[in-house]
Amino acid sequence: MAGVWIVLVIASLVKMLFVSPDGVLTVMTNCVSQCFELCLKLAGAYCVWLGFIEVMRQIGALNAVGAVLRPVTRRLFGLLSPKAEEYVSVNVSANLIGVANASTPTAVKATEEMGKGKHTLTRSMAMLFLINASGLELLPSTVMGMRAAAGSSSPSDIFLPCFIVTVVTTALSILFAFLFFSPDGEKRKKGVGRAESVAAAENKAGLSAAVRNENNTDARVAVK
Amino acid sequence: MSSYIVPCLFILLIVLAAVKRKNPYNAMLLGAKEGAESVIKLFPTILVIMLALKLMQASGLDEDIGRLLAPAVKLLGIPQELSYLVVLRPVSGSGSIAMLSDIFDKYGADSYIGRCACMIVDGSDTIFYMAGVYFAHAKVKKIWVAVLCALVVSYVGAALGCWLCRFL
Repeated sequence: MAGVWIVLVIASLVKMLFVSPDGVLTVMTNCVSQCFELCLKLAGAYCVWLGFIEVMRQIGALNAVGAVLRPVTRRLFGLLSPKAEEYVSVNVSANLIGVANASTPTAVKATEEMGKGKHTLTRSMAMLFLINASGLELLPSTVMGMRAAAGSSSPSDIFLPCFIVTVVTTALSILFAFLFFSPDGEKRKKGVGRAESVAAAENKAGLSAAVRNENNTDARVAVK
Repeated sequence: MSSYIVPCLFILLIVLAAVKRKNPYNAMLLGAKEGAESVIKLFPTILVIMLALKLMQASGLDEDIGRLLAPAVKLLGIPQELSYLVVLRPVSGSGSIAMLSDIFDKYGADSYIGRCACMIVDGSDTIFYMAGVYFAHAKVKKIWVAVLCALVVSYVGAALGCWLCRFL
């Protein structure tokens, strides 16, 4: 990311030299105030929704949501710390019911939890980012509102293509996360990192066996 | 319909809290404190990313990239008129909404180009900001791989959306 940033800034500045050298400082200082504005907006969403989530946690609703979504989250994100799992399940449900404001703070918190002690991007972190970046929403409300405002004869006729696109991009995001990222974040190389990847695979197998055992005990308890 | 979701959620939550004899006031305070701290921690990251993107827009570099990519965009089956929107979408949320509104004025909301623009805006998000914000607290490598994947996914989505708009 740092490389992309450097290239973009240098290219823009060089171009500014020719186009409007006086504008550079104005752009930079304006940017700081715009950033404050954006952060204030973000702070609104963060404070309200993290407050909401804290109430949910205290009344035990977070555990309930986590339990309902666990089959999905376990499959997609693997085993997570309980706190990360809570945030992930809230993020997924916020996306599904279309409360986009709540999805960013929860995703940031979840990523923070997942990243503890990691040095490379893990599959779970990439999965969460990709799913959110593909614009997971069931009802394209913003765009539909804008079409209505622009005098469209039927603003909602984009619902079907939007829905199909969302399904495909979400599926593709999940596929990419599985293809390009390994669960522990270490690079999968043929030959070179063989020992590690085998160890990782064994580790994973052990974990899933543990999950299976856990499920079995659950099932046995249920039978009793 | 969707405007009822948020108020109902809050009513449900506070009633549940009252039934369970928990104090929603204190819990809200705790969450709000956490939210404020998160945003303060995010501020420098957002500023630095924003700086690069604003410089890019001010210098007109983004339009150059749009022009450069126009043939590739056409190849994907996306109308050439929208190549700048394709570049702008991952960079600026408010910018692409403004651009969408311009496109509606210019071509009409029900035109093929207008509908394709909806697909591009709706099927993606501000990928560069999101990457910065999501991974600001986690000091991890290989973030660019995720960004690249997200961009590819959004282009596939845009191409598919434009194709679907031909007959849906």
